[in-house]
Parts: sequence; structure tokens; C-alpha cells
Amino acid sequence: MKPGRRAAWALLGLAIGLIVVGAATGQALATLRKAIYICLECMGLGT
Amino acid sequence: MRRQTRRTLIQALAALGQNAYIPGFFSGVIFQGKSKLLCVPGLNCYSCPGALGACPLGSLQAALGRRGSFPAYVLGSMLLFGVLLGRLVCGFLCPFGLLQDLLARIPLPKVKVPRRLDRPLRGLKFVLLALLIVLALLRAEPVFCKYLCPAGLLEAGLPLTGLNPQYASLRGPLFYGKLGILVLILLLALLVERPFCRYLCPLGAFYGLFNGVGFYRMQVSRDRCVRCGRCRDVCPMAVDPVQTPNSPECIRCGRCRDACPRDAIRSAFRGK
Repeated sequence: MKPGRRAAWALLGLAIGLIVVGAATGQALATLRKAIYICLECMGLGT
Repeated sequence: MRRQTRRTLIQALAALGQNAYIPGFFSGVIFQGKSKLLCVPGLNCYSCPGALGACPLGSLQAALGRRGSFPAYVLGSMLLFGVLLGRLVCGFLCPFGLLQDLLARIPLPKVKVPRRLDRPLRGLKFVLLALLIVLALLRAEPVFCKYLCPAGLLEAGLPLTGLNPQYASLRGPLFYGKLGILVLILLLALLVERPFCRYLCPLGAFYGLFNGVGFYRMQVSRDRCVRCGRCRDVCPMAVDPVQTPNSPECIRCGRCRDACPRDAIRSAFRGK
């Protein structure tokens, strides 16, 4: 396997690891909580 | 079906798929289902009435704003899209990219940005990516979404303030400032291809970092290439595919591949 491919597989492993850790520590639910409420800043409302 | 027509179809399906909660566009109430746990690959505002998933940039800023925790989940999601697809996301899956592509099809004379201006401007999106991270950490607010993101205003601000008088009453300088930025970007997109993706999109900057190391790669056969320059001429991102087939700027639209008379350009997922 070429070194570049090895780096890609390592990054893929890291990505999956981060997702699993994030999901296990409740960060995925925090994302859900952010995403289900209207974001006034995104809409350009507020000060 | 021509490859570019197929790409437009995929872009349209991706835009619709990411915003498939149609009742939201009539009621002005955003989708609140469990799929919003998941980050979508492209710049797609989670406050869009139809959005089924979470915008990775908005989620990243929100996660960074929660002090004392490393944003593993969102960063992992972005890394996953980056390493699997790179900027293929920009070329095929981003709704704001589709909009710019459609505007570029309006037959108006196109402007070629001079190299000495183009180069430093391209760096701006990397500066914005860094700024967004630092400011989200310092100020605990989504600075990019608040002051710049044109997708947020287009997909969420305009429909929701149009549907709901309560939101309409909150329009102020921030709203009109962002509206000015949106209009400017859309007008620019008539004259310059993909101006937002080229110069301003922090998500594109992030995915671009993986064009060189990710699984989806382009290759140019030096034996077949006759250096006619057609690939460079048709590239919407002003990349020279012969010199840098995996440039961080390449959005993998495949126009260079279609233009090549010698079939010298190939792209594929490569794992070995």
C-alpha cells in the first residue's frame, strides 16, 4: 500500500473514532439540541 | 445522459434530499426529528425549514462554544466527509454550490480574475476557517453564521421571516447587512464561477485539505496528455489539472475530464 493511502486509512480510522467518542459522550445529542431550535444568528436576526 | 447533466441532477437531488421536510416551507416550523443528530456534508443551514440534518460549520461553532469539551463528534463527521470525498462535496452535494453553478449558466460575459488578485483571495477562506474556530472559542457564538453565511440567510432567514411575522419584526441592520453580502455573492456568481467556494467558504477550505490525501483522487496520464490546455480553460475553479490534479481548490466537477480530447484525466476512489 502506498504511504498516501495509509494516511487516508489512518484519517478514516481517526474520523470514525472521533464520531464514536463524540456519540458516547453525548455530543451528538448536543448537536441535535442545537439543530432543532431556530438559529436566529444564522437567519441574520438579533443584534 | 451527459456527465455534467448527471452532475446537476445529483446536485439537485442532494439539495432536495437534505431539505426534504416540505411541510416546513409552508408552516415556517423547522424539522425537529432525530436525523438532525447527523451532520450533512455541505453548507446547508439547520434552520432551513426543510433541513433534515445539521450544518457541519454551524455545529462546529456551537460545539466549540461549549467550553471545556473537545468537539469530537462534529470534527469526526467533517473529517469523515473530508477523507472520503474531499471537495467532491462542493462539486456534487452542496446546495449553495448548485445555486452558483446555475447562476453561472446565465449567458453573461465571464470575468477572469487576474492571478495577482485571485491567489491572495483564495487564501481568504483558510483565514476565515481559522478565525471562525478562534472566535467560536473566544466569544461562544457562531460568528461565521451570524455575520457572513449566505446560505443561512437564503435558506433560513428569507423563508422564515417571510412566513412568520414574529421573525419579520426582528429584521435589523444585521439582517440587511447579510442580505447585502448574499446579493453581492449572487451577482458575482453571474460573472465569476463559484466565487463563494473559491474565496470565502471555510467548509470548502477544510475539505480542500483532504484533496491530496483522501480516497477520491484524480490522475492525469502524462503519456496521453498533449498539453492542449482545454482542461485548464474549462475549470470553474481556475485550476490547472495537469499541474495539480489534487489541488485543494479542485471541486471534482469533472469538467476537465469531459473536455480532455485524449481521455488523459481519470478520477476514482482508491483504497490501495
